[in-house]
Amino acid sequence: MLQGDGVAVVPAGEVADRGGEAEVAPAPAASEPASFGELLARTGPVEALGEIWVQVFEYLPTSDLRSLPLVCKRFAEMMRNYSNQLWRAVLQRQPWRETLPRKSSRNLREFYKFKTLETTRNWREGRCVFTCLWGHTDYVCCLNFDDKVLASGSMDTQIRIWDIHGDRSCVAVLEGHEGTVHQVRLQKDGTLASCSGDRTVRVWDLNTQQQVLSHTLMSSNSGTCPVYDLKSNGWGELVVACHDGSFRFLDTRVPGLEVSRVLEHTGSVLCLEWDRDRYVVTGGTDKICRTFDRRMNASLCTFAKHRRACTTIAWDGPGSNVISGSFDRTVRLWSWSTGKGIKKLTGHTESISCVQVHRKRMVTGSNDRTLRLWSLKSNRCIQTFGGFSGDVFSLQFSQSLMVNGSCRTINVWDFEALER
Amino acid sequence: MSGDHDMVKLISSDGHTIEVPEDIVRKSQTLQNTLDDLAKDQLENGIPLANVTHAILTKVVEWCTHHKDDPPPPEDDDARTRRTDDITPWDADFCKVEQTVLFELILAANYLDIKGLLDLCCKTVANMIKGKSPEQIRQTFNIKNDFTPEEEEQVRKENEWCEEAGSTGK
Repeated sequence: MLQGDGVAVVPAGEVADRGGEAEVAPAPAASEPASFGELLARTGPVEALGEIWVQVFEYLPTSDLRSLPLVCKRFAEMMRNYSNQLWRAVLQRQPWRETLPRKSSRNLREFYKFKTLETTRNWREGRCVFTCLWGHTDYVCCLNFDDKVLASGSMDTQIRIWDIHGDRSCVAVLEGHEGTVHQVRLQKDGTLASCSGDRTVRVWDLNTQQQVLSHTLMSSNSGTCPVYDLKSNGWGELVVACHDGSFRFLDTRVPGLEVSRVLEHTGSVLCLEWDRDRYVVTGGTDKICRTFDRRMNASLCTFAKHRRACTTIAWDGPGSNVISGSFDRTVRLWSWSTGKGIKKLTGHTESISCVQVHRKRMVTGSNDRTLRLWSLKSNRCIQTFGGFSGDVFSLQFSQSLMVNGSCRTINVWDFEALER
Repeated sequence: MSGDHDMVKLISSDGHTIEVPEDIVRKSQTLQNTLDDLAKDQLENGIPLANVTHAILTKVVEWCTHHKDDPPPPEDDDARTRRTDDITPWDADFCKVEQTVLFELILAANYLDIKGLLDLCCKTVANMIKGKSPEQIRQTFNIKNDFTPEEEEQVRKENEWCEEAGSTGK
């Protein structure tokens, strides 16, 4: 990595002379617009500047590495000069990184290009390694995986933790909920948040496998209130969907948990999604979807084209369109800021239970016992995955892996493991 | 003068002197080397930092103070995760500064060799780029598009496959 030249220790007399240099250096001047672009345009230590940008670039997903060389000549040049260093960083994030050519002279960009195109083909043609995880004794209603583990929640009231990237065994069973587990979310601090039909939100420590928090939600008319969906900002702030038509913001770090409550739906809230800690989209039994701006504490718009309850909702990337699925068997794409409908996708023969969009790939799960892969360009279904023992209730996928919950089983579809 | 042995004087490029506890100063690999190489009396007049202004130095010290009990970052570069969604709320707040300040923080963290701070700033900038089109990136950072249409088309062609990386094809 970068090394400074060490600190030059100069006699005190010379320090004052450095005033001239300080003006040349990109010091923040109040009168000038502050931007990287301007700094980039100024003649500076080119090499150091380039290395720093490349360090930034190393944190970006491949989809962004496509945009970078198109920004300006300087960026294109940096992407060329540091190509192998960059692609090594990108490749190290891949699940098959152990197959990476070590310190070889192979062009890593070409290597990654080949791998990427191969995986894309596998998705399109439905070629993958299929594994079934057994353990739950009823429908698997929710699941969530990160780069470490997979968590699943079921109608059997249990939460199970699986070694999804290793031998795929069940490594823990968390018991405590007294009703269907409707949602599980892994947190960045090693805990797991869950919500249930038993009217509680709970937090579990995955290291000790113990419940650390349980909070019972009261409904607006003073009864208790089943919780159907839960999303997290990863740092202990949660937003939950409630039976009484409200969605609520909780903070697991404050006593009493409930920070605020929004009551806008006239039926139960069944699903919600959070974007950048600020915007919340919700869908419910009142057939209405809503977007809410938490910072302004105001409703932004509604979407009312579904003919039956909205069961699942997702963002098409940050600040992009919203996708909602419904009992009416349709999936709809609409603008999060205006509520204007953009697309309607039909094909499933029963109600939609789950949807996810990742980059340009969209997958939906349905009570018709299939998963469908869609092209958002042509609005067509390009692949159907089926053969399940029951309705599909939950779903998550990444570039290489798709996981879905069905009756008693969790199915894992690995699109990159073919040659292993 | 307090005469406290645990304080180190740092002189910013614009001539301000600040006193910083030695354990905080040692978060910087570069300054740690300087402290180890020099005798005490050589440090009496302070360590001049030619590339760091007072404003930036204050920010750097603020960060190092907050993170003084952190474990040292992993040496092995391969072991570093490239996640950008694991910035703590305190760090996120710390980075809510003007772009020039952020950029100078990167330069300072690089020059002083403070790996944790450098990583944080790089992640923050990466998050400003994430998911944006080339035009949006230009707007974000006020960068001028200096391509001719032909050159742009050429670069686009070379990188077309990256789009496939996340797409389902036709």
